[in-house]
Amino acid sequence: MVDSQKADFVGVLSRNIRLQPGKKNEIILEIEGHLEDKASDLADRGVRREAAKRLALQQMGDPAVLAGHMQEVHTSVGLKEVGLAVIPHFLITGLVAFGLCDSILAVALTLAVIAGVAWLTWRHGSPSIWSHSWLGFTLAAPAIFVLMLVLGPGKSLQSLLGISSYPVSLSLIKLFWGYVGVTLWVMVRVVYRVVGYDWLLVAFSGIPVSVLTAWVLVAQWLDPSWKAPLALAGLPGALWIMVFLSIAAITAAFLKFGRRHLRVGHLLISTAVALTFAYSILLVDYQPVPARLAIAGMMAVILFPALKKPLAFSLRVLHNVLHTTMHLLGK
Amino acid sequence: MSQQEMLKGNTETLLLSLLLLEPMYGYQIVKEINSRSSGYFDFKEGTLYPALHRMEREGLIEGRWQNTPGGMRRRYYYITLKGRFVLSDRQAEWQRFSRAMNSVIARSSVQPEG
Repeated sequence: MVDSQKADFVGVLSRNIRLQPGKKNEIILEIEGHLEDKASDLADRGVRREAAKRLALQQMGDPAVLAGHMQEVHTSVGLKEVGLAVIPHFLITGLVAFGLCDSILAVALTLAVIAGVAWLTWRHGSPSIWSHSWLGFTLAAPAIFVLMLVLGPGKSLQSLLGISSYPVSLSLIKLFWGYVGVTLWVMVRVVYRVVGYDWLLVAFSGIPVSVLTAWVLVAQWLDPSWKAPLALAGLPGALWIMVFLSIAAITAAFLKFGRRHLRVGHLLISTAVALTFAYSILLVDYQPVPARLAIAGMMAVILFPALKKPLAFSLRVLHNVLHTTMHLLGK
Repeated sequence: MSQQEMLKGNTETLLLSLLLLEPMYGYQIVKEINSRSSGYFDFKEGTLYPALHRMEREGLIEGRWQNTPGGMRRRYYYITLKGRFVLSDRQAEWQRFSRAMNSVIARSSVQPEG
């Protein structure tokens, strides 16, 4: 009986701590060790073994509250980390602000810095939370690749590689495709691992992906022939600068909110507003299916942390209803 | 101010003071605080680990897993150099605070009404 109570306690703890598996296991082992120490100590002082175990569990308090505190401790960040998290936003803003989007050197350096930092922070498997924004910019490349493949002037891989129809240099395009290869490799190694322990971080990483793909979609919609430089197509650079600075502010606020429910709420509201603003222009008369799928996919990723529980509850209810119906029909 | 509120504001100082004496694991810390304060500080166990982990992230202490002779694995916490500096500052501040409090409190006493 007490053992099942302990299993329940550990189960609640485990479900509510959304950290990398190594860190999470360490925390659970430490708490379990404490419970055993406490129970042994009480037993040595004459309390019956079962009662001692029960008392140890009671005195540890609510496991969900404890898990919430541990989660908050391990995901809270200082101003230094917030500064590190928004550097890629400022790098991209700098490219646009100084008109360097067509400079092979500037773009290559920016991509190298972003991919390099993402790789350095992720290679040991225990990245800090601030590195998710760098990862987000890294992972945006494959999404942009797919969109350009579908929406580009030639609409084929051959025309993308030949690239005569794009308004930017061949070297720049080759550099971008190389970058896509690196990011696909990173994505395969990283995303699956993160999804395993916290969807909220995947949604957080997805912010730059949504903005950068929106950039491509809006650019393509305003200038289907791709004649103007991609970065500034149709819209003033100041608007893009504002967009990236807004995303930097969203990122900083997300990191400074310690409590998980505040982060979920903030991410949902701010990203929904940003995406609605960006895509409301497109959805008026923009028909391509891939673009709509991209929007739906990004919204799904970002909304998933908030919808997971209601979704699981609905599925459980549906399962129970079907099960009962089948049972009644069987009778 | 309740005892729990006073404890909350001084948790780090208490923990650092204990770990300065020797490295300890979680349950040992709870017992030591209880024993040294003659039971005055009733340390809530659910609040101990968040405090220890926060201090570790701030670099004040360092946790290391060690095997005990009995075959159990325990996480011992060691005070770091930064933790020693912070403790030194807190102790000096506490001395100033308690001197000031005592000098005010000692000159007045509450007479029971009636």
